[in-house]
Amino acid sequence: MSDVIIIGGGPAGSVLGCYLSKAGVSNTIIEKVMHPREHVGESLVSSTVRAFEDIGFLSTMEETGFVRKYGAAWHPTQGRGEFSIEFSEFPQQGVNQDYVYHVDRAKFDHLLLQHARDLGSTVIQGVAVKEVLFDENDYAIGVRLDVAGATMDLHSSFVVDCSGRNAVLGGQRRLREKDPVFNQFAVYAHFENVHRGDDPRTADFIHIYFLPVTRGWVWQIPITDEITSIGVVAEKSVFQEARTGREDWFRHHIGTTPDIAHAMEDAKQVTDFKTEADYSYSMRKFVGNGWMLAGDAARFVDPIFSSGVSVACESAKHASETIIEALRTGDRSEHALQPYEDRIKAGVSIWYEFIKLYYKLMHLFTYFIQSKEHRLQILQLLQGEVYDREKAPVLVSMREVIKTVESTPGHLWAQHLTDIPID
Amino acid sequence: MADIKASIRDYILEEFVPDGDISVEDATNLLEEEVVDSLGIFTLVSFIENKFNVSIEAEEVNLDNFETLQSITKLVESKLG
Repeated sequence: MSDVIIIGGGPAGSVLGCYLSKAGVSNTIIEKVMHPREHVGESLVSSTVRAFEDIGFLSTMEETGFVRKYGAAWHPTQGRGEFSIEFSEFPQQGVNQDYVYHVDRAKFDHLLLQHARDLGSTVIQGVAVKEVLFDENDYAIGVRLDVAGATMDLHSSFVVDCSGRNAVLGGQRRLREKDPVFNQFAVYAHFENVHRGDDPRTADFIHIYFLPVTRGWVWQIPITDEITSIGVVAEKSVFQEARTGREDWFRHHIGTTPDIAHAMEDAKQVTDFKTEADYSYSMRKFVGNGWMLAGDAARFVDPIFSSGVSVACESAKHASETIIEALRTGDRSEHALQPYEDRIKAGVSIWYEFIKLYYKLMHLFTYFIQSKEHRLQILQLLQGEVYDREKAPVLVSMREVIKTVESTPGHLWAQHLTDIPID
Repeated sequence: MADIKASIRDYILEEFVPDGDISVEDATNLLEEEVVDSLGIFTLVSFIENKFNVSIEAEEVNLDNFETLQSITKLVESKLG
């Protein structure tokens, strides 16, 4: 019997396993499929470097040769070059490099899971968790597994759900609340021969191309020297109203703005198109007696800022600290675990607010990227430093600019604000 | 003062009129003549802030201030006091 059962062997589960093993807490990771397996979400933010360093994984990242990500660039719909930022402008405490990585998620997640096993996690793959088991006092006491058609129970003091958007426990307890604003849809694939940019300095940045449709944009993420991930994202109704197949829809949008059309001019598709839909939600609670939710299993926000893996790492770190403390005191009640929820909710809600203001501003966001006054604060958020609201005054500034533009008659930027509610 | 106007004009010509097919006079209506579009104003604002070490507030990004080379120059001058 392990102290902790972790549902899911993606980044949240593996990183949690690593932190726990390092602290001498026994843990078992149960992963539904056999890794390597594909996953969307190939770009990271630099705060993840801290977690990699903590768990001794940074050298693996370097040795594997993932593409280094030094910054981000945005392209306007009318194509007049790009606006970019570099991480080196805003050094982060505890991050001793000015880049993070773009990753092939199949490879990255697999390496991370192997690393967890190397550090001491028991890893079971190809086995699905059917449900989380509770005692008569509503304390989580383990999980029920489906092992080749047979049922088997495993017991533990803690269950942490890291099952991503499958949300095993959130589903079981009906905790999911769908986001009222974001209902995005994405079509993506890998390509060779993408022109990553005319400027060699920014060629391996993540590139975001604005599209002239509701909350529409394209990601360009370098996966290897040859392969680039390209994804078209828009409000789901844009896709539904188009009444075309996903391939036609993708190709249509790629052709609508000059910069992305140029980037894709000679591109050769090397994987099938995949789609993601309906994807923003939050669980009502992130903790209960003896259980916690981490990463996407707790809350999923729009992926515009590549926040997913950083939320996974940050929640894994704090879940481990909370568990270690609860094991010390012997109190694993919901109340004892609450500080974890408060911290993670606060951080993800800053991401969420930033994302919402960004979508409200869309093109006007480039004003903040260029502004002397706001640039570093924007960088700070983009690099994943979101857990202290006091340090995010730019969110207030973004609201003020929106208000000014909306209330100034004849403001030159009024036409660029989108119609999403921000409060 | 003439320097301010000249450097803004040079910037506009270089950034927005690459083919040199539009002339930019002091009173040319930059937006109506489609020399600069409303998003191009971002680059212009950023250029002005960096070049003259001034800060342009969001509420100042209106037609009055950005209609012509003349009005932009006036805005910058008022900031330089």
